[in-house]
Amino acid sequence: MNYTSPLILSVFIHLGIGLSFSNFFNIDFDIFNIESAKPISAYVIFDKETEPKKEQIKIPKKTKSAESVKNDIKTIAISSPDLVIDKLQQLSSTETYLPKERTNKFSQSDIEKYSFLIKQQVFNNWKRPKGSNPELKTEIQINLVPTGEILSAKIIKGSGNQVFDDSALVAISRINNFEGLNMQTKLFDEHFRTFILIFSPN
Amino acid sequence: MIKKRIFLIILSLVFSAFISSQLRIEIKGGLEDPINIAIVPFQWNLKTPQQESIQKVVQSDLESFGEYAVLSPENMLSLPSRAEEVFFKDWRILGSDFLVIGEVNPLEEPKEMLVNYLIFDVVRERIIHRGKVIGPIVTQRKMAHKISDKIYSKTQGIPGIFSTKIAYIDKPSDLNPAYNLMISDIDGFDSLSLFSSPQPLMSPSWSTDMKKIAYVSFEEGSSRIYIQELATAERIGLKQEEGINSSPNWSPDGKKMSAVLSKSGNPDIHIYDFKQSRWIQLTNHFGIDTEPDWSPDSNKLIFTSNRSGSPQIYELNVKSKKVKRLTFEGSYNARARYLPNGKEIVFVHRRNGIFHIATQNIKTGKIKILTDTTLDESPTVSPNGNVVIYATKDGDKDVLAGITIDGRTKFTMPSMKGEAREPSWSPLID
Repeated sequence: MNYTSPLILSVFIHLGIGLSFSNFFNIDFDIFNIESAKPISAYVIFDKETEPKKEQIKIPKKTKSAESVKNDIKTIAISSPDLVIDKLQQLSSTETYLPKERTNKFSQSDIEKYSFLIKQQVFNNWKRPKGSNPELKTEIQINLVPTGEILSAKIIKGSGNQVFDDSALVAISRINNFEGLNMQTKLFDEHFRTFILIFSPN
Repeated sequence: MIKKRIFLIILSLVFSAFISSQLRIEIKGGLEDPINIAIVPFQWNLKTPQQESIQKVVQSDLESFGEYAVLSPENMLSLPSRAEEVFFKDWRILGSDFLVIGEVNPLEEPKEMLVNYLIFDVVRERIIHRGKVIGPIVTQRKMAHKISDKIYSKTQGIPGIFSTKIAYIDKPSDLNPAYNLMISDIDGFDSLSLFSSPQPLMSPSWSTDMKKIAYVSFEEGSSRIYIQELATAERIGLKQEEGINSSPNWSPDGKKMSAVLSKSGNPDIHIYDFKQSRWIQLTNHFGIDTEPDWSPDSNKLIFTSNRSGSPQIYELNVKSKKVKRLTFEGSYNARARYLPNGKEIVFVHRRNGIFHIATQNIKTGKIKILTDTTLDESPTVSPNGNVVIYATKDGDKDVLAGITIDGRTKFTMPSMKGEAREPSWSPLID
């Protein structure tokens, strides 16, 4: 009997399974998870509600976790329930203002727009060390939640210069939370939940 | 047939996963703002009173090239000296990127002390370096420079140069009627005369191990190259040839010395081989070839030659003796020195009748003028490639001035008395 083709088949399947388990393809399984998708609609309210508040605080520090977000929502609900109801009504009545959300379409220029926003914020927070010769390059994988908060930053390709790599990570720590990324869920999930920042001196 | 199809489907599935690309955002450049750093005055645990604050020396080191904004201790919210006393939030509020704390402790040896210090990354809330320096109490400045060097390398990614030295020639003046070969710290402190002569002294050059200095002396009436040991002050004259003996320069590998000799009739580039104790002639041209400098890999030399009619910079391959012209812009380019990366040179460039210090990329030939004063000469590059010191005029007086290689920060060498010429930057040693 000829075992060659089943053997090759099995090698490919196992290779595929093995690599997926080691997250080689960078598939974000969260996006297939219905439960994790649920809170996103709530962010719409939260985002709109606390936007002016955010600007006042100005120094969002590391401790801003999911818990604090929940707390924020709670306090708003208690202090001004009318406001929330108002907002909710407004949202349901102005559904027609969100046609993009419904068609689930976005253009290349949307990606560029949000990429530019990210780029700008990173640039303004990155102090390049003196010893950066032009060939250095650091690639960092960023994981975001839809509010723009950075969940994790991981160096996937270091420059070989520790100080340079660190300066990039410091810039990301300084940002902590990307501002202005209120975009459609689909656009976020496809491009901005996980993306790569490349730092180079020139 | 079916088998084949399944095989193909799986194959394409596997490969499509490879192709699925992530969004890549490239950030080029970054801010060149000074790094905000807080240096807390080190806790002094010795019985003998402190003569000079280590923190102050480190602060003045770091501020000298405009690369750091150092937080003044009066503005600090707390003065920690141990890691457990540090509250990162305090330092973040003050806008610090890095924090340095430390303490000075006595040792069993009564005249020595131990400095323990920590460098923190304030934004990421972590210690990036734990350091200690041991030394005689009287060498506090030196120990502080060592700490500055570490801070620099841990925050800029290249070695610090605060422990390096500058050699220079002090010309006769009303105060001092002799020529002096001087060395000093780069902040102008701890200057010392190594040799004094009523006849001219010229062209100091450091050995790679920083233990010797070569220079030209006219003490015997004509020029001769001498090598002087720093520790013992012992001097050896190299074999003197007829005519000019000038511009000594150690090769980075320490095996040879380049110089200019005119024994063949006109000045040509030679090298002295220490192993064979003899001179080897490299150029043989009726023009004047002078001021050689070694490439960092010791394989090439750049020199000034007027063979084309005006002084220009040429590059010479030491093995093949092939010569290539490097500068084409302007009618005066001279006294070139390699930058430590070996890809750029710094030299004196005349434009509109004014002598400037300029850099040029060897490959592209692109010239960048650094200084805008009028009579700048003898550039020497810091061993980390970041700063150039050169001789210039302050009114009638000869002074040493410096500029960062990006042209952003200029400074005059402080507390240098007399008339300083021909600076030569020492190498980096641990």
